[in-house]
Amino acid sequence: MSQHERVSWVSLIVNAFIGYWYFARVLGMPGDAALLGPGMAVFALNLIIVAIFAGILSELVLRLIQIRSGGDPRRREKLDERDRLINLRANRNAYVLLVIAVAAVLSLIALTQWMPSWGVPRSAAPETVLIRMAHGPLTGPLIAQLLLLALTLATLCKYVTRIVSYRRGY
Amino acid sequence: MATEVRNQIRKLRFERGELTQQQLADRVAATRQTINAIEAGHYAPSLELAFRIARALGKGIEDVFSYGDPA
Repeated sequence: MSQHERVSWVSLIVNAFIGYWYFARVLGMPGDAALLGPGMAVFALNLIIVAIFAGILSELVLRLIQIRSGGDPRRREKLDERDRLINLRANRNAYVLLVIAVAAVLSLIALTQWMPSWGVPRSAAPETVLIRMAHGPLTGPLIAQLLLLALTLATLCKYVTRIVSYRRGY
Repeated sequence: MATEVRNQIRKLRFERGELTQQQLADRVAATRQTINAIEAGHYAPSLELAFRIARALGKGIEDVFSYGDPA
């Protein structure tokens, strides 16, 4: 396994972990008012700290793997033409997914704005950010979370494409 | 995913004193994984890389690479 493939695996795991940790918490919040509350600021700060530590930990793991496989931990493998093609394909797939996701967010904004009866009937379950996202009305903080979700999914798509391309051949 | 570009790299490496994939990769400024992917028929190299590989193996490009089913 090349160094670039290892980096892709670690980046995928770190991004999936942080994305899940963030959205599992945010989507379950009671309404969009919680997104602007003081608890959100503390949560965002915690998220940044976790992201920094995850970045440091992943770099350490990569270097340890490189030492164990007999390589020089200071040596960075150069990208060759196949790596560059794989990166281009990964970026293209991520871009396509991002465009589709942003178009979906815009469609959702339009639907919730002009069709108040959009979506399945609301249940008696307590309203969460996820339910507000599906039914509207969509406020600024909710739209920001939806766009962040689109960016996270596009990033995951990039790393998955890279790994699949390295595994199955270009 | 297989490519239509066939190659004799594996055979020629051993004819050149058991040249390893890593040694060949270093000579042509590619990674060992790319040489492995080319050998296995999973990746069709650019014309430039194909020329570099052929030169590193001391052969012409048509001695190393061919396209489609062997006639």
